[in-house]
Amino acid sequence: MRGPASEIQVTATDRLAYTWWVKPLWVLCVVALATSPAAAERHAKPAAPVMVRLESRAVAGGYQVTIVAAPTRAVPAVELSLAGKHLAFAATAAGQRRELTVVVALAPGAGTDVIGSAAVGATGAMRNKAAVLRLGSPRRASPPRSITRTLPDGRAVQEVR
Amino acid sequence: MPRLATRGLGLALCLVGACGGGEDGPLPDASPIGVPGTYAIAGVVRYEDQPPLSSGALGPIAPKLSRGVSVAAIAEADGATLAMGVTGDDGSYTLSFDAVGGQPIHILAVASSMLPARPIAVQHIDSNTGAPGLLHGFGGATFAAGVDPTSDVLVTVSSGEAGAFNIFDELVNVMDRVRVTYAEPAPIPLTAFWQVGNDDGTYYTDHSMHLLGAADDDDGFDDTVILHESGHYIEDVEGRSDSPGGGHDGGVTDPRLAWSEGFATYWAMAVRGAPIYMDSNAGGGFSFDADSAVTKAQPAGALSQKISEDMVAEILWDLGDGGAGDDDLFATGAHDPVLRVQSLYLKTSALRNVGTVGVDLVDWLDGWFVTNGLTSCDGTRSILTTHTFPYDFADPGSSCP
Repeated sequence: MRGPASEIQVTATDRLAYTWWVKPLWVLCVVALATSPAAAERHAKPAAPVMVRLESRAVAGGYQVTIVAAPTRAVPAVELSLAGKHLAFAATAAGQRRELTVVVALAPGAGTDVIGSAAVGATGAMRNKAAVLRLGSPRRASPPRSITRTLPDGRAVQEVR
Repeated sequence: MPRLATRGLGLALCLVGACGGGEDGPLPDASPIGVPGTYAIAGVVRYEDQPPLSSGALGPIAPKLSRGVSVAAIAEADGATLAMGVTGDDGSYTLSFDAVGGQPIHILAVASSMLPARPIAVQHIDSNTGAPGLLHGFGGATFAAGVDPTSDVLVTVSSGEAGAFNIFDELVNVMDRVRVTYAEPAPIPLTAFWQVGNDDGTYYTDHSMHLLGAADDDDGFDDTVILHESGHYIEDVEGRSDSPGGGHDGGVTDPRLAWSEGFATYWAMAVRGAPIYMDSNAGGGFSFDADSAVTKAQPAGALSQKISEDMVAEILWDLGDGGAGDDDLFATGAHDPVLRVQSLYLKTSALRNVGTVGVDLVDWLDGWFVTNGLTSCDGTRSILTTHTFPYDFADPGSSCP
């Protein structure tokens, strides 16, 4: 029995066939995950009531970077920081966008991390959320040298030296 | 030169049969090189801490003793484990092992303890699948068996492992407090999942805590964040929580969520003995002072009204604090009675049918009077008045006058 024509049939022998029953199975899995107690009862840490993201586009000599922040509830003040620049806003409604744009100079072939932060709340009781964006060439960090060991009591350890 | 001569003489004596191997090892002044025997190594394990500042940002690197971590002597040649032990509360260890004199060995420190008093493990996690990974470990410098009497270990920030050892050390504080406050000689094991780059989120579930290690937000050195999540472990194993979970930001929310999160923050403060919650991130961080802040409820609102987790933490802190600098009229200087309401009342008692269904601040206040009597009525009333929380003082034990 075949499913609707829109579905994909992968015929490679070493792969799962995407047949008509796969889609309902995915739906069931998603519903089960969304309603599972483990997902619902996660106890997260206190957060700042703001959504933050960084956007960038290449310009001559570097990148134009914008921090976009939107409080998740009405707040008395918003303070944005981006690459050393700061901008303060007065009371801001839930969902209202606040932005700060800077140009970051970058030599060809170079790379840098740009940090943006949005702090919201009342003076003296601000909470912030940060975002980091990599510009230019990727960071070249070699992972630390590590080895896996199993101790006599059965504990498995990743040892870094 | 005289010392070398003495060593040579000792070795010669060994070679003619006085101590040629076995359990005793060479004579004290003999060169141990090439001589099989039982040798000892001692040292101190430390890690590079970055203690949080009152602003929420992290402070400069400061080495800190690594208490209660597992240590193993590892042979460089084949990776064999020659001996195992645990550091003391001064970070020190001593191991003895059978080896050949001069054999290259190193100390492996592991962020894990199998001792019943401190059942803690700090592990890697697969951020994509959630599958638990290996325990965190750090290897010290190579030493020669019988030649080097000491080998200290410093777990560095640059290795990416110092955060794991800081998490372990904070959880040592948790287990030590559980044993005292809740009289649990063998607490239920607690596992922490963290590594540099982990973007799995920071949360507690089912005897385990997950901690961010991301570039924009790394909680490996955020002591109060680690302790906050352990506060949910306390609710889980010693008390009760009916929190629906989910996000929270200090604003008014479901009273069960506000209670649970406010208690967890208070637990962190009680363990540290300081009313500051601090959370660092790439933009610096933020902090919250539960002693000086005054978050208020709606005085004409219902007992089931939405409240702030901050208000819960502030009320609990004011009930437990005391001494110089105490800014409220109720000064016990004892946090244990506040914390024990979890195990003595919330975990076992039928809750009064007021407020929300499930544990909230109202239920804890009921339990406070049931477990501590009515001598605190005036002080508690004063604190609740400050926060304009309309508690009815009609607890099931006996009502406050």
